[in-house]
Formats: sequence, C-alpha cells, structure tokens
Amino acid sequence: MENNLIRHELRDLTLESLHEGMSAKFDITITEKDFQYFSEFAYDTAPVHNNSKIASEMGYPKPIVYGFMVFSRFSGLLGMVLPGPRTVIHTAHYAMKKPVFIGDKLTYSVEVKKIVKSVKAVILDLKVFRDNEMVLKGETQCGFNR
Amino acid sequence: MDQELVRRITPIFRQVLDTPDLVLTRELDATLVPNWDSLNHISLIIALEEELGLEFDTEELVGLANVGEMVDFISKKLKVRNGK
Repeated sequence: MENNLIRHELRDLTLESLHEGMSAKFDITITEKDFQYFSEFAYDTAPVHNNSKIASEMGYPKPIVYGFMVFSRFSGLLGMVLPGPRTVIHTAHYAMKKPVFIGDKLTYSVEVKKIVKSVKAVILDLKVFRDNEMVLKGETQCGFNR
Repeated sequence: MDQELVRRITPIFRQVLDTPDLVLTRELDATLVPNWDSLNHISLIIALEEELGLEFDTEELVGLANVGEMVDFISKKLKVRNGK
C-alpha cells in the first residue's frame, strides 16, 4: 500500500513577520493505508466508511473518508509552517462541503485572515480542494506562546 | 459605567464565557466567572475588537483589573476614535 510521507519544512515565524493574506499549501493523496491507520486510531468502523452497500444507501457512490481524518492533516501545516512552531491552536472549526474518497488528491490551504496583536493571536482560513472543488472549509485561531 | 457600552458587550461576554445569565458589574473579574480562563480571555478580547472595530495594545490590557476598568478603557477609546 502507498504511504504518504509528508515532510513540512519548519518555518520559525514570529507574529511580527505575519501579514494578512499570507498563505501556505500542500498536496496529498488519501491512501488506503492512511484510512486504515486513522480507523484504528479513532476506533471508528462505522459502516458508511467501510461498507459500500450502506454507503450507497446513505447517498454516496462508495465509502467515504473520515471527516476528522481529512481535517487532521492541517495539524502539521499549522504547527510547522503557518503560523508555525511558536503557536498553539486555541480553536478550530470546519464544515465538510463534499465527501472525500480514498485515492482523492487534495490540496490543503491555510491563509492568514486576521492578526490580533493585542493578544498575540492569529485567525486563519482553512480550505481543502479536490481539483477546483472545495471539500472542506474552516477557520482556526492560534496563539503565539513564544 | 457606560451603560450603552455595557449593553453592547454583554452578549459577547455571555457567549465567549458560555455564561448565558452573566451580568456585567464594575467589580466582576476573571476570578468570579468559572469559564473566564486565559484562553477565553484571548477570545473575549478578539471578539470585543471585532464587535467594536477597535485594536488594543497588549500594554493597555495588562493593567485592567475588572470589568469596570475594561469598560472605562473601551469607552474612552471609542470617544477618541469618534472624536468626542
């Protein structure tokens, strides 16, 4: 099975070096191995993710990938690239716009929406695309702790 | 306290601190509201800046001991911005 080996380049950004509109992206393909790994990690074997017949009954052409799994890929991008290793996540929320399937090639995008200097925080837009179709949209608030 | 401002910011305090019946008084501070921790304080400041269209300085916020001082500070800042 294919395995994704993502190596984000660590960027030691400071709050002062950020500006609104600053962005970072990376591409990844959802693999069967990633899917199985997350299934075990999350203790989730719900049929819509594993059973074609039930997935079909629920309106999907095939079993769908875990939404939490899709979202979890932001962890490395946020923690290592933008806003980077000086920050922690305060809040995060997202909406799944389209179902994601094993084999999908996804582009993750994070963009600085607002910088709040008074409390050393930054608000970022989160988006995931499959080709030009948005499959996930969210927002996170991160704080600089050093 | 500037009661018009208090009316405007009360819903923000209630939502961010997840305390629907919170009443803002001069003496109210973080020690008196269980959900008013450091993380929610950051969210509170961000929400206040957003609602009021203001930007605060870190140094300005440090000395504010309670809601009364916070309201006085914001009220003064709004008056300066609005040229009053």
